[in-house]
Amino acid sequence: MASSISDNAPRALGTLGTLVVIAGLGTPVASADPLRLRADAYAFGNGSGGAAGLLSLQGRDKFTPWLDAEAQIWLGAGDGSYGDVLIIAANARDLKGRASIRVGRQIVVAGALRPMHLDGLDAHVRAPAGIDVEAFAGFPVIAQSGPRQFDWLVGARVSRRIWGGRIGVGAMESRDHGALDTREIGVDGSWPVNKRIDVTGAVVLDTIRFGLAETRASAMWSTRKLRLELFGVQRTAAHLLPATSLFSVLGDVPAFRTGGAARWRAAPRLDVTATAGARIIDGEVAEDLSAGTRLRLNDSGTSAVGLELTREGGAGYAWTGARATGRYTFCPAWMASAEFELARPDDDRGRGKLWPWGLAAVTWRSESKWDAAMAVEASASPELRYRVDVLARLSRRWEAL
Amino acid sequence: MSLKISRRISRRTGVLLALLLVGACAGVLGLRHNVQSGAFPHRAHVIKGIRCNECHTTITTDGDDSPVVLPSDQSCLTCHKKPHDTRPCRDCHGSPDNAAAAVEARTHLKFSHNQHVSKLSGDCVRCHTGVHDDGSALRPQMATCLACHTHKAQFEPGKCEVCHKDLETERVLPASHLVHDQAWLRNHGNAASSSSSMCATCHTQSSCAACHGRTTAALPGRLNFDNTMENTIHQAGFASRHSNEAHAAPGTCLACHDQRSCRTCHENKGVSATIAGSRNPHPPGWVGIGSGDNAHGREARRDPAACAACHSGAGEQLCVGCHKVGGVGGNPHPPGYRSQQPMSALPCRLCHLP
Repeated sequence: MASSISDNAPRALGTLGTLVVIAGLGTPVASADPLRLRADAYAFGNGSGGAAGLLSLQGRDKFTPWLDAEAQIWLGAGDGSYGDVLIIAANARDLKGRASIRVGRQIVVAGALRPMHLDGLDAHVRAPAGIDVEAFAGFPVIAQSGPRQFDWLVGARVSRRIWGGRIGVGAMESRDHGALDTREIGVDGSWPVNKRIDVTGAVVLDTIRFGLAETRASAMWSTRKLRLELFGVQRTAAHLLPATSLFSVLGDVPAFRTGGAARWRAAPRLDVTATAGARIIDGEVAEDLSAGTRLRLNDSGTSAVGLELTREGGAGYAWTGARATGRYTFCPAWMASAEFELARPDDDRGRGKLWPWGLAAVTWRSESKWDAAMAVEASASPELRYRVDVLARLSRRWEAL
Repeated sequence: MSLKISRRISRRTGVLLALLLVGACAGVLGLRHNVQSGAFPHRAHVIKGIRCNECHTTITTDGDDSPVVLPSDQSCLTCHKKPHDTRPCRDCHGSPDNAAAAVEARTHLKFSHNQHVSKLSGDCVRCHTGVHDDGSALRPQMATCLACHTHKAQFEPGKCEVCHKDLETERVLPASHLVHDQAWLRNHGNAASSSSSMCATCHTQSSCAACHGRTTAALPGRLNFDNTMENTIHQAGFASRHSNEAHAAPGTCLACHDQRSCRTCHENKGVSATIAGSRNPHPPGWVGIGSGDNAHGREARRDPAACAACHSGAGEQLCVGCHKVGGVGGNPHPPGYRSQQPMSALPCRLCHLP
């Protein structure tokens, strides 16, 4: 249940205070890295009178060469809105790069293991012989600072440089209200076979109900103008769900996706991309196709147009779509952009035969680190015959030594 | 015979038209190098033996953060005594792109001309190699820097800040080794798995949390709504397509979303079977009551995450009513199912304990 903004205001203001304290600690250091602050204010409104606001604050500073901190918080306004902390963490490191530790609210990415948003710590040690050791522990983040009753998470990863690439093994366990929720082992590897070929892969094993939760692999061949890729991904939803979920006991029905992708720089300003693949779920095979092109209208790419065509198959959920995008920079300060998409489901099930969506925006950037943008978004969706939204953003960046 | 000839002619016409089209669009496609007629003729001045610092007089005294000072009309008038126009010289004899590149470099890079000029004995062309050509691109490439400064010690731990003030605001992608194109969304997990320190050279914690955080205010695509050319997750009309896309890739949503996030959002938006007047997402006969085909078991096995999205927590009781031990729903486990969980743990105890 979303708590009201007044319930959460003290918590959000406390976080804002922490951010200000972090900013205040930003005394000048020898490396001359400035304290960076950024504030973004958003306003969203639609034709039926609904409106919402959002204020996002970010700060980053390097207090000393071995200590830096980062924070991002936001406050919402409107029905059911509240404030929350996305990131607030301090990072200390050994100046020779042998060890580091990050404390606070952070995202931990440890090899093949799923990305974790936690309140805790993440420590790295770089040992000789190309061996890296990482350990992390903390409390999984719950939106709106929800209740915590014996929720915790702990894990580690060891990786080693080998044959010019790197291979790693990681494990993590988490608890939900004290009950075993997730326990998985992940193996990941990456090898640049030669100057043109890269191979990467990862496997995640659920050890509570023994089964592959996720497997992904890709092999890529690239030159300056052409890149070809073969990829394969397998996910088993039952093993990705928490073990405490009743739906995790329904057994293994893995979903496979495999195919190839190509990117060709057909001309210095023209890129052509294509993906052709297949999805296999419970014996059902469906196509997965897309093709696109992007033309940069100047050498810097600040003005460009693009077109994408997509076809996703599957009984009951197939759809075909086209998306056109464009951006034109009139001068360094002014830019206009537009996007239009038309999606058509094969089986509309009474949700409308076509789902059009479009957006037109204007952006202004000043040299004094202000920028502003305004857009009109219009769409017809399965729920609404039409909807028009107005979006606005005002941003300001500060840098101080 | 005549058919063959006409086919040949039409094929030739097609090829000719295609060539004409490419020729006509050569400038737009970037095939024809767009030489700026107004680029300052640096080469001609160097050939005449004029040293760079005779015009760029402040180059050795400007600091890292000083405003970029380009030669004034006075510098030109020292030699060109009789100007042929009343307008400032740089209005015609200077490339705006070069001037902008100089400002960009001064804004985003830590670089001291003073140190370099003295070490290279004033040989500016050694780095500004574009002077040899038409002078339309004078900012040295990063490879030019690396020809002298190998920066091996900085590359390994990803210390880009030695030269780059802030890669995030600079928004430069090293084209030589990383291109974040449409396949990147699919691949970035693998890349982050094997070389997270590489990602950290440009991206902060907030970059990862923008999508993977449990407390995001809104997705990056929504917040940067004016950046229509960037490939993001959930772009364009995703709100309409999300049900189709979720069915096509079971389990994918769980990479970022909590198993309950669908229900929270649907309830907030008033689109839920539990809200009076809303549309029931299940077809008639979904659970074997009535004329339907009792498809819920097959669909649940295929995508249990979709069921959990609405029925997790207290909603699980809906299943337990029939599928408990001795219930009419039968055994929901597949053959050979095993778990490390004791019967007293969740979710086993929901059905297996009285």
